[in-house]
Amino acid sequence: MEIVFILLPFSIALALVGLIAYLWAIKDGQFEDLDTPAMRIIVEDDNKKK
Amino acid sequence: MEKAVLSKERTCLHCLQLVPENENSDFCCMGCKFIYNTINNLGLDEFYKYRDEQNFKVNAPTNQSFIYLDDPLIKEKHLKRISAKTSEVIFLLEGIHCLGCVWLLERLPKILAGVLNARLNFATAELAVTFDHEIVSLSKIAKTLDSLGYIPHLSNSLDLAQLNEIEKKEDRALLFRLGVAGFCAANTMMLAVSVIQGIFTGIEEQYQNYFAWISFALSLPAVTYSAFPFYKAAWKSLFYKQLHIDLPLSLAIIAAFVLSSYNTFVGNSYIYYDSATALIFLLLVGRIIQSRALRYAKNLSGKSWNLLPTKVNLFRDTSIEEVPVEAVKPGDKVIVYAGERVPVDGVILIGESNLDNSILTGESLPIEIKKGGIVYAGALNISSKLEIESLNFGTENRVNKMLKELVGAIDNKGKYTQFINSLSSYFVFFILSCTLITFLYWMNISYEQAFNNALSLLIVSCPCALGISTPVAMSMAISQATKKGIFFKSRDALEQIRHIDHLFFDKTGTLSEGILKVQNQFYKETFNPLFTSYIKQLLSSSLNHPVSSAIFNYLNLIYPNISKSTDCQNIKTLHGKGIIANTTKGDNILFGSIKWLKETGVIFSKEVENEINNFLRLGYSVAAFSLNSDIKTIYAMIDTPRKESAGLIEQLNKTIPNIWILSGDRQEIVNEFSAKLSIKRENCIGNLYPEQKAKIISQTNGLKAMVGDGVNDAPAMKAADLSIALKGKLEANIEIADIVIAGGSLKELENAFIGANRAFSIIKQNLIISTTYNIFGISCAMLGIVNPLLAAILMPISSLTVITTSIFRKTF
Repeated sequence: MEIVFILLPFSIALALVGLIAYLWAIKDGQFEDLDTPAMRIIVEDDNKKK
Repeated sequence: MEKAVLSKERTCLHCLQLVPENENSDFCCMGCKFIYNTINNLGLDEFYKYRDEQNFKVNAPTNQSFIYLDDPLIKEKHLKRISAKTSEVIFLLEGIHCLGCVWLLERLPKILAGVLNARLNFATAELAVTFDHEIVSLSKIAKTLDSLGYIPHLSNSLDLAQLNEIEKKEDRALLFRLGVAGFCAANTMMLAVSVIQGIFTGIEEQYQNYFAWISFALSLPAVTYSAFPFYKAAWKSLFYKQLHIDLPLSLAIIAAFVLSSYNTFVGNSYIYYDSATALIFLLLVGRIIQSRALRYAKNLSGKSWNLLPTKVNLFRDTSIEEVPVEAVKPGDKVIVYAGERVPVDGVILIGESNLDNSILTGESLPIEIKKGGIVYAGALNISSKLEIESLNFGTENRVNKMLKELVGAIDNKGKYTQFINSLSSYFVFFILSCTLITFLYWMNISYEQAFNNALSLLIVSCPCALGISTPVAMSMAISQATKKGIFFKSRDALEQIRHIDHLFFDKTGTLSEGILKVQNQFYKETFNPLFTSYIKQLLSSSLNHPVSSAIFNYLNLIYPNISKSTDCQNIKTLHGKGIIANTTKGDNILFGSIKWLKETGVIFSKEVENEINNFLRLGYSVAAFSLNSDIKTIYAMIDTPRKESAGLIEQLNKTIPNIWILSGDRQEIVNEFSAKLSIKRENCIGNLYPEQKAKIISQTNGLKAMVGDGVNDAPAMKAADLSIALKGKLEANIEIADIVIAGGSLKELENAFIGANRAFSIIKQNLIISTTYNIFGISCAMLGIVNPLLAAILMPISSLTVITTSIFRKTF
């Protein structure tokens, strides 16, 4: 069970990667407008179909 | 079988409104036809697949040149430099309503060469355009947007734009803290499972210590960085000697962390890191929901761009140039045409006209001005062209000054919600006393036990209902209200609306229709249709003037079959006085104010004088018609109360102790309103300047609320504790007011009161639910049987039950 001493920091490091990605996304301004991207998705899909 | 006859109704190809029957086209108007052709020529007819079929109101293109946008001053203030050749500009667009708009506008790069990117924010109607300024100019972009039916504006007030930026930064910081808190909470909870289970079934000391120390390290960022806003608010509240809700919350967090750290140092397994971090996370979720709901309400409540003109006709040397208002310097000569708004504060050099100053004074009747007179930015120039000399630099004017003072004031109000406030004071007092009792009792047995139990009490008694579900409940109420067109801009507003002691109403446009209507007329002799036809012809030449249009509309309504005469010649309009003409038969006719008619020597018989005085006493404005110096007809007009006003006042009288009317109009007119709406005479005051209204308000005691609709109410709104704006024609108050009611409907004002009360009854219910949990938890703590498992269970249950009930209840 001693493996847990390495496993724990390692898994936390993995989770940290996720956190950093989230923080980067905030800095990039991706969370400012949550309504318009939803509309954009519908429109672009149709466009591709054509 | 007979085929049903198809109706001859056709719908416009562009906006789906009905095409008028006599029109032989596929469009309802030139605007739609133009836009349809533009869209098709660009090959973008896919737009019609995405556009929303309902609520499609179209703005006809204004076809302006927008040349003033190319001025270097605009570049300096409104463009963001991205690289050597490219910049970004943000336009506020009118006419955004559906999916089709998003699609169309984001295709701007394909429509106009030089535009690299266009991104629309649907909620705020802001279009961010990145463009190469060596290829395309700002005016060309604006013209293109205009031709598609979206009239573009640049943010008119840069102070407000700055406030927006600050808000955005705060929102981002909050999201940052949320992410960190979530990360810490998730991982500590994972570790806590092992440790808590270890308390019951046993765990090797090395692992328990390891997990405990890692939990300690993980909790540090959450407890120091993420929870910081709560500590700050709690500290500030101590400063003001008030017990804010963040105080017990901060204490709970710190207690949990301190106790857990102590236990970790001494090797004890009772750790509460997961409760602490989970609490921080949930609290931040509550805060974010709240701040987003408020921002959403603020954005939808409207933008005040069409208040002051952005372009100015500057007289340079010998020609007139269109420049942005920022380019105007003191001493510059500016032309203001009839029908335009005055763009800058100035003094009249050439010309005579009538101004509608309702933006500043609330007066519904125009005033005459001539050479040497002072005009203020925002006034509407009614009758003829004026040349004025600017007194200040472009955007420095009285209106902006008033708005600036007010914008600064709202965010520094620093008043905490009273009800929650008083409740949390009792709560904190109760908790602290229980804690003290517990500590003192257990001290007899052992210091360690006392410490443990006292802190455990702080942890489980956490006021989650107050701290989390209350903001969530209020945010839900605010979001629901937003959908109904009632915009609350702060939590305080939602609470304050329930405790109003004095409610001040502006008259014009708020309780009244805002337009003059003829109520009565007096004929000296028997009715003569010839006179009516003369009057119709005279008035049709000056329909800009509210008195003319009021009487003209009245005559068309009552006597639709009497057509306009064609016999009047030499029709001359004298500003502020009346209209003079003569007929082909040789008669001299005059129509206008009583004062002027007397000056020209028209005869007023005793009977006529009496009638006029009667009308004036009742609060009417009077105009008369004379033929050959003899008064033939008198018209009495008044701005009437809205239909809903009486009902609203009746309802409000039941709950609000004092209702007032403050107005810039004459006292007699205000008295009429007092009688018609059953408001106490001494509370209805007329002849007031905006500053005087503010003085009266600040001199009353109690919670003061002000309801208004124009910039003229701005000082009064600042003096009040709660300001409510009815969104009508002018949109200045939108930025200042605590509550905005779209559509200017008084019925919605009534609903605002009802909804706020419902929201608070839900909050009270939540408090009862969570108090039950708390009593249970506190008892356990005092008896010394609280362990981390119990804390970890009780806190989320009490938080989540009250949160879910808050989210799913309907308030508005």
